[in-house]
Amino acid sequence: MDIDNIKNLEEKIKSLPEGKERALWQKVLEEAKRFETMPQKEVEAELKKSDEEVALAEEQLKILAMSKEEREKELTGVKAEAARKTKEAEKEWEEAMAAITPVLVEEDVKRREDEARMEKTITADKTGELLENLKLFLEKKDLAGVGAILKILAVQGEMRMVLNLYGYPSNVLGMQKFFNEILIGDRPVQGEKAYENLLFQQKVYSLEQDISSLAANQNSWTLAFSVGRKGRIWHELEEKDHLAAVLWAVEKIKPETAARQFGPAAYGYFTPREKGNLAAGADFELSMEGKLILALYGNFFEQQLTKNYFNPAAAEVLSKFEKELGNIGLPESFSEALKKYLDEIKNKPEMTDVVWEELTK
Amino acid sequence: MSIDFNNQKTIEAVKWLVGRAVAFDLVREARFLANFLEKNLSAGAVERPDDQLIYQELLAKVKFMALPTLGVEETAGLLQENFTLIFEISDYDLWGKIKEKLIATAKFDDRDFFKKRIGAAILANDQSLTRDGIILGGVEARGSVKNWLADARQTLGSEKVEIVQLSQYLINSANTKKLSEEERRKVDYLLKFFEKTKISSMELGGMEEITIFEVDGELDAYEEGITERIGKEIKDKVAELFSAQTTSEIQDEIQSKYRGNEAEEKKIAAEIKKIQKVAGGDFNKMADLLFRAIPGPGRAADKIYFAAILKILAEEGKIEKLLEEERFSGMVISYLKTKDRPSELAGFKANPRAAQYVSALLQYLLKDAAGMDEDESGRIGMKIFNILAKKGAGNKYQGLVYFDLEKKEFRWS
Repeated sequence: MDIDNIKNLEEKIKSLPEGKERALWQKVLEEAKRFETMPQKEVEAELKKSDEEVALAEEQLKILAMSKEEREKELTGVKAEAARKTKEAEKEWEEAMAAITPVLVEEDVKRREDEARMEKTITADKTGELLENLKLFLEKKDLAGVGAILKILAVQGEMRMVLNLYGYPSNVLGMQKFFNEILIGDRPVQGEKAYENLLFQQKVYSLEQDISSLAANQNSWTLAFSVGRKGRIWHELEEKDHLAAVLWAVEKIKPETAARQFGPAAYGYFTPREKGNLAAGADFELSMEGKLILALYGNFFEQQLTKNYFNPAAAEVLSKFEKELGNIGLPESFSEALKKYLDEIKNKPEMTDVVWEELTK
Repeated sequence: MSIDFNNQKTIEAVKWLVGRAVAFDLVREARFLANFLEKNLSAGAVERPDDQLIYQELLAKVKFMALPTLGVEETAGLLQENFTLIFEISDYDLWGKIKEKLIATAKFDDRDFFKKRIGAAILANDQSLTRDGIILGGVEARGSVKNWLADARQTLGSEKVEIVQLSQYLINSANTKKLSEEERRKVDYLLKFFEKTKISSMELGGMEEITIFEVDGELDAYEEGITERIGKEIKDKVAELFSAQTTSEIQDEIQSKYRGNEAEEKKIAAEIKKIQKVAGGDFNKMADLLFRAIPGPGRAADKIYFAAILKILAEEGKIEKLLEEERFSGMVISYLKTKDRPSELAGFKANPRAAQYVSALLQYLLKDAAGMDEDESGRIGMKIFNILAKKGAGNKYQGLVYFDLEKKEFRWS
């Protein structure tokens, strides 16, 4: 088939049933039409550049046109060759990583020493002041200062504020983006600076592991298990792996404890309404982690609600997701129990509000 | 407003707030309470010694909740004076709190220093752990925290002790024989906690953070020297949730698309009221209005009007009746001809009320006459078919409009 002949090509496409092959030819047709309107010189340049792509497309079409048997026969040798080449590449990567391991350990030790030194210089304690300090350290690209501040905020359970301030949701995706975009930035682990950039990236991911571990310890499951290790190297976990780790950890916790101690950050995350302006507020979303927990313990939680033994802040946020709770499979009685519980916990001793107001001044 | 700490109502309020922070592990609230109580107690705000004791205990409880935010010496002091209070806090995880403080401590030798410091603090704790005393070095002694630790160290040595040895001590020691179940549990907890303070954070068993390792496509969780594989069951549950999530997202998407936008729905509802006022339920008037709504060449139709009038006809069960009129059946014939379906003309003549011809009429009216596209006309069509189904047509019109999941559009079959 001559690809310059657009009419023929259109005829061919019409004759093909819907499917991959037709889609591929459609792309070829679009390209051919684009070429027709281009000046000759540009066409030649494009053609040269796209030789490889055309070859690849033709190879794809060739394989698609084969019967199953033909395909298996054709690919036997190719598969073995591809596996061999991939393995060799893996071996080289492993060797490189084995060589770099002691350097990574040393870099991490240095990071921790610098961070500990910085921590001693920080006198701020209130969230607002700490966030201001964080801004300054980020402007100075001072990773040790950033690490020290982040840990103080994380221990105070305020990572949500950090992420929301920079425009990210307070979930694992937001956390990964924060560390990648704000802390690592444009430092590709390839090309001339691959080595330096890998060392820096690994230092940041090691810090991310610390922050994420604090979140796991606080039952802030939406921020837990954000990174993991593949061999010697830290990398950010995919969502399904993060969720598997969360479920693994949650299953170890007694449901009674989970009912009482899991706060909103176990069930969902906040998305900021405006980047850089915490005062604009944030909206709470029920997360996949939350759905897993509710699917696991929902029925038991309902009993705890009727005994007034459920985390009040969690009850407050969950009460707004009646439909989603139903989608998880929780009965209507769960949402009713939430409402009843929230009504009942409004009762408190006379002076409570006055004392609370005084102590939060 | 200044608060009178000697007022019984204040005590009740503080007790309630502390109880809430403790029961629900509210660290932020606990921090506020700890700072507030500490400041006022040291300022002498509480007069009666009995009340002072109450507030002191409440302060210690909230400090336990906010432990990761305390300094090293403050933590050590809390454990030295109040370790046994942890048994009064339901499900309190002291090591979990200590671990959080350790994870937040950047340098590993600082972590080790902290562990040694808290180990030393409980070695000096003189609170009673058990009601009965023990024999320590041949002499009767109180069943205090420090005496129990001293007895265990005399029996097992001061180096690291394996869990098995601890269990043997609990079973075989003459001192533990008289213990109630509850007291045995406390001694067990104390000894295990103390052992943890001996393990360096630079040893495998002392690594506080949980690390997830990806090994040959499997996930391993590594914590305090123990590796555990995250099993298939867990991964399956996650996969199931993903799939359910996708299904419910698709359902939500279809529903949201089906509902249409609120403003448009309001306009249709308003138009329905107007038409009903004019036609007053008279089929002939309605058919006339519909027919006259079809625009001449080059003129745009009022889509809202079409949707409204067809909805009324559907509600009144008179859509099919339109096909008895020549002006509307002509539309179906014209539609079938232009859509390469002339072979169906005979079928239409024989059974004009068949579902496919009602569908053809609606397509002509919504697409050709009202100028709606496939998606928009399909959505209105589906609404009309749903009304007809409710009015007794059952599943006669089922499947004539469907939702194309790939293109996320309504389409006519």
